[in-house]
Amino acid sequence: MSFSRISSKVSREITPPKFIISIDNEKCTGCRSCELACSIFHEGISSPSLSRLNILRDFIYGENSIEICKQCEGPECMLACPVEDAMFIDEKTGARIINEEKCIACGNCARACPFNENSSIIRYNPNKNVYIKCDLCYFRKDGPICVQICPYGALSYVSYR
Amino acid sequence: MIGGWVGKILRIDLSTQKISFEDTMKYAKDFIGGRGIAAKIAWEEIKSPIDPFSPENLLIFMTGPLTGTLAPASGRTIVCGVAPQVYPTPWFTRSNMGGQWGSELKYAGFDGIIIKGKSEKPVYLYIHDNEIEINDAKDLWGLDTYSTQKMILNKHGKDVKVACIGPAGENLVRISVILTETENAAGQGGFGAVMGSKNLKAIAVKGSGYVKIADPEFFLELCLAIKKELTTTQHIPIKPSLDPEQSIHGQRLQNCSHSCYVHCCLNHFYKSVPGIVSPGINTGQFHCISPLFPGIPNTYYDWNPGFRGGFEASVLSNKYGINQWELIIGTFAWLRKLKQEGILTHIDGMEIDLNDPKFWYMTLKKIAYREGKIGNALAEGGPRAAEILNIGKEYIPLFWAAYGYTGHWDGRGDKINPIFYPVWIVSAIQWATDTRDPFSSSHDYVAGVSMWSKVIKWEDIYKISERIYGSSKATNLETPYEYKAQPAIWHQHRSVLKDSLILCDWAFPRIFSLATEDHYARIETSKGVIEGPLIEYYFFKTVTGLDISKEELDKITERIFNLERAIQIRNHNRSRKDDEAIIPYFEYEEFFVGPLGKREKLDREKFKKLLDEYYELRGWDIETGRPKSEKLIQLGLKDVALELKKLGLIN
Repeated sequence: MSFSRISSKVSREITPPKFIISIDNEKCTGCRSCELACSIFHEGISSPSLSRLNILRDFIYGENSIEICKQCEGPECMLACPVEDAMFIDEKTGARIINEEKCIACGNCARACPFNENSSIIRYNPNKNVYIKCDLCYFRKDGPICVQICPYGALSYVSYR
Repeated sequence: MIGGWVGKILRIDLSTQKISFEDTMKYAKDFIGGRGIAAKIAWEEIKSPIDPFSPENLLIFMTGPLTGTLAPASGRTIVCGVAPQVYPTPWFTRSNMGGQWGSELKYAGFDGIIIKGKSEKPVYLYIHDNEIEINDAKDLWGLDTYSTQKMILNKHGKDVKVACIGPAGENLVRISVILTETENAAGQGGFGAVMGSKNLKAIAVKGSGYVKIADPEFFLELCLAIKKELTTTQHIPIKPSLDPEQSIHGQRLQNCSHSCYVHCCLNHFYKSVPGIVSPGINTGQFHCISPLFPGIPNTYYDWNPGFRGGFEASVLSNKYGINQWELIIGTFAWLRKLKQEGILTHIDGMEIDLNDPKFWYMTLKKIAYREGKIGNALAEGGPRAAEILNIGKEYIPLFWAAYGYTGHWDGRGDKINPIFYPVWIVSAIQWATDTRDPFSSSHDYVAGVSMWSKVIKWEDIYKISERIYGSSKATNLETPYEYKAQPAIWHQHRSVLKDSLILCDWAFPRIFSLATEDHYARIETSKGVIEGPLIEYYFFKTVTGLDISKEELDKITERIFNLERAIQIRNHNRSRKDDEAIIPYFEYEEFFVGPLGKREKLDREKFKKLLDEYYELRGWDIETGRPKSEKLIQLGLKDVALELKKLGLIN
């Protein structure tokens, strides 16, 4: 991937998140552009099953709900990770991030996440044999791509607290 | 790397249950996808006029290279085959639907499905990650489209996408649709009945695959730029909101197609509208033609069964799987006319009264189930019904333009779209030379000029015309019969491109804009400014990675259009005479009074001269309206030229 990256510092201590992606299900129209933008940005391919967020749609009643990492203060995923430095925190955004170079694909993080019942917040990427999750596009100049593509403001990038 | 296509087309013969696969790239480089590939397949495999309900008819579902990508409204699918709605002789044509089904088919590993034959018993297909199941549909047969989808989702999972038919398709209603979700439908052509004739109730798809993007970085940049550009139009609200008064009906924001960031139908979803005739709650999308079910005061469609009654009728037609456009612009408007003229006052003892929700409800039921003599006739579509019942034939041209299709953006048949003279002269050329109502994928000129002329100055429109068509006469009010073949051809090719990539007709091509000073659409990118009409080309190139020039892409669209014409010539002896059959319809006075202050009608002789010009520009013979052999060869259709020549159909 040739996306221009901005530099980031890594924190090894668990500090609170600085930013999160806040969701408004009432504004979600179910178009799922966010999923595709996410997978194209991170994986270079268009695929909802490799997206780091998930839109659940009930098309009969027009109800949509967004599933995305909450960047928990006490991230169970990180605590469950058995490999040193396979998960880290970006200092600028506070994003909880999987280091794909070090991930051994054990899946402990995905099982530990209390919000991952649909296996859509922390997913397995079979192409790379790693687990993937939202990293707040911490190396992207304009912030999270999903927020930028959302046509109706259902996603917003906000300070934590 | 080649992106866009996922590589395989699935073939299923329902008679033998034989399944096979074909390499998409065999067709893709010359015919792109969608409508283009379908035309190539039809040329090879539908070699004579066939009964649309015979097992040999093909039902082709085809996506395009942009389907399933982030390109706006990329969830669309083209459906092609010999269409039972076409009157008097069913022939090969196309329809197209939104939703999310097309994307999912690609994630499941297929660019398209070609269905042939007829199953002995009702079946449905379940296609998931390269696995194909032909399953018993005993429990689904007879169910409406909502229930069919719910049953399949319960069985195979909530993420499955389903395209299916309702009772109308099962009962071979010639105006029946293939529907996905609550209102997305391949509506025109009667393809629901083709599916019904094959005993195929539904096609469910689920995939965890992906679509490759050749240049993901620039593609994302293009998508973000076009997202911004899409909110600069005048006919699409920038930010539609919910109406507090409609909260009682559970109004919701719901989009129509996968990856669509256009706002055209967002606030047209209602999730809890109480039924009037039947108890219970109705839910669904209520867009495009649907708001005409309850009627609109001070328009031609001023009937009034009330919002709830109209909504109930709209949802019911989607559940039965009947073509809403045909119902409103055709069937129901014609029935009201018959009542007004005293020709037909009752249907099976029930008075024709469009203010009565029960009349809508019962008539829809009669059509879907072919109940009674009149219901059975209406199920055949308007022109056939008039013939069968031997009534109201003289009023058919008030509503139906040609080929068994009701009018659309022509100033006559549909009496709601504000088109005026001389804009409909281009419409007349497009109608004359197509195989169906051209405007489900060609709103660009007819709606564009009609609607933008109310927002921006004519001078700006003339300048943009000069830029894209080569002359301001293409839109000039003072030159009605000059320079109209050029825009007709330009837009016919754009329609082919949209239907082959596939992109949404409401979103492309980008021509006019409120964001630029000269009102010509353009976007800024890191690779420079891209003019509005070139956006599709850049999408195609960025996703597929093919090194192709703009001229080459234009040539492919011209090739596809000529191939469709060749199918018509070989299978139906199509000629100029058939094209001119549209003239009497346009000799009726237009419905709206345009900016010139009076109602106009078509001048036959001047129009014939325009047709001369059209054929000449196309490289077609003026006498016969058929492509010259050298034209076909120049377009890379040498085999087509040889076959037509051998049959003595062209020189």
